[in-house]
Amino acid sequence: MLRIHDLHSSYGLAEVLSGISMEVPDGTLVAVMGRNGMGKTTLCRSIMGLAPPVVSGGEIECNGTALGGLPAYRRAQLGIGYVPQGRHVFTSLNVVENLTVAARSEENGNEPWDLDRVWELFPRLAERKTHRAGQLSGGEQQMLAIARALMTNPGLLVMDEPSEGLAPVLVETLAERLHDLKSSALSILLVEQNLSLALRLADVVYVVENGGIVFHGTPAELDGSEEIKRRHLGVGV
Amino acid sequence: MSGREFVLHTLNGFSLGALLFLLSSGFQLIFGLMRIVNLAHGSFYLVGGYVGLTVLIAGGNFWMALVAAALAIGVTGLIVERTLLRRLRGQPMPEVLLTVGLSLIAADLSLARWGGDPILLPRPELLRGTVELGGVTYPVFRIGVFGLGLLVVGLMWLLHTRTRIGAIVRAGVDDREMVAALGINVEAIFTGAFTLGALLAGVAGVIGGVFLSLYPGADGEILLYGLVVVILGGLGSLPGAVVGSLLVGLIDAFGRAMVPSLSYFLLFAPMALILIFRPHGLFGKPD
Ligand SMILES: Nc1ncnc2c1ncn2[C@@H]1O[C@H](COP(=O)(O)OP(=O)(O)O)[C@@H](O)[C@H]1O
Ligand SMILES: [Mg+2]
Repeated sequence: MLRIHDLHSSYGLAEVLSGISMEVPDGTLVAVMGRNGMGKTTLCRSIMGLAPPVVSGGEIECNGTALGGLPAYRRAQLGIGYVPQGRHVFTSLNVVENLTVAARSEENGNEPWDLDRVWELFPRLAERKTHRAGQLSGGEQQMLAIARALMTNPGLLVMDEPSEGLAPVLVETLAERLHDLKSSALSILLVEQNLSLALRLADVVYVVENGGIVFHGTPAELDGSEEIKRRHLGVGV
Repeated sequence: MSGREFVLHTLNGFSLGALLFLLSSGFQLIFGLMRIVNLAHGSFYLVGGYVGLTVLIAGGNFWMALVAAALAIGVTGLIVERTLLRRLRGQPMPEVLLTVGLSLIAADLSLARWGGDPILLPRPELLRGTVELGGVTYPVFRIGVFGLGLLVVGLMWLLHTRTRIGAIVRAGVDDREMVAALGINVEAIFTGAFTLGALLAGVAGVIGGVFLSLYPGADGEILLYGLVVVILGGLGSLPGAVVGSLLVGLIDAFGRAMVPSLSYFLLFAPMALILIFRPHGLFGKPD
């Protein structure tokens, strides 16, 4: 689905990603972990073609199409759905409008998304249909941001820290919904700082540190490596 | 103030407000959506008026003048956005300087072609004469301007709230990067908004030519009013543009009549207060 090879990205003179390579195979959920400021959001923005940062080297390929140089909207049209860190819902639009603005039909073999299917996945949003997104709680906004990306009928979902700032009970709901999505043939790149969430959902985990990959393996391998968890994820310190 | 005077100033305020809405709805849309302070917007207005004048001189009627100005200035806006502004996207300072440059060029060319004397465009046949309203004898033309303002408000409101394009525009005012990340070609939306804004400014120019006259400097003056409207109403908000335009129209009408020496102060004092206490305007949202 997604292949990244030797990606370099920088803000001005500061290179933040220095040679990242990774892969999200079809239908899998790949988690990217790492502490604050390590370049996870920079990675997501580089994939989406949002500036800054500037991508100064390397290749990103989605379904065999090289993304280099394409504007963000073309990348989205190639089937990448984006759930940004901090949600970025359209606050002055209501819930339905947030979804219909995004709606786009794509023939990618997956069951198409429409409002009814969104209400089924997130019943809470159905109750808030006509509320402005700006009035929703943080958890509801997160669900809306995910639903909005789904309405573009993506083949790949890029999610940047969806559990950030959510109460534990909402993180649990989020985990269940992500589990549902995972079983629907969607490929997912999930940036997370919540270790247990990532371990539970991921097929493969990458750990980034200072713009490079320092670990790549299964959740079980990561869970077994106290060294990686302590040094790069700050667990148990 | 007598009741009759009150009615008169109110009507004046409403008709000026309608003209200001035609001008500033586009100005604030461009400001809110594209974050461009288009300082050439006043030139779109003035040159639109001169295009109308050209049509009238060539023997056309008022309505032909209106349509010609709309088309000419709309196309001008389209070209300016496509060929010039697009190259400077995301660089606020060069963008503003470019629009200043364009406004200077337009002002000089207009001066060379039309000279320095104010030119008052004739009222259209259909809207000559006066009506009795609340004890005041009032020109039909100004009532017509108010009617046109209402019509455009209504159409813009439908476009804004009832169409997908309108929802995309509102989403773009909230977060244009995210609109692009959903697969929507925001550039095309920008071009459309800029063109529509220019077109409305051209229409406003012909109408302004009838009730304020055309002269060098009218571009800057009307732009100043437009800025006050945007600051009062807030960025990218249609209700803001409506209320802002009416407020400025009414303040101007009553100010000129009651305390002529302070009319500018009356206009800018509320603007300063808004800037201090509610910088995002009455209807805009904080960033
Ligand atoms: N817009 C920006 N301009 C300059 N530096 C930035 C910008 N955004 C992020 N950075 C820097 O890039 C590094 C990586 O940031 P980011 O990708 O946001 O990390 P993460 O998402 O892993 O917390 C940090 O050192 C951060 O300070
Ligand atoms: Mg981040």
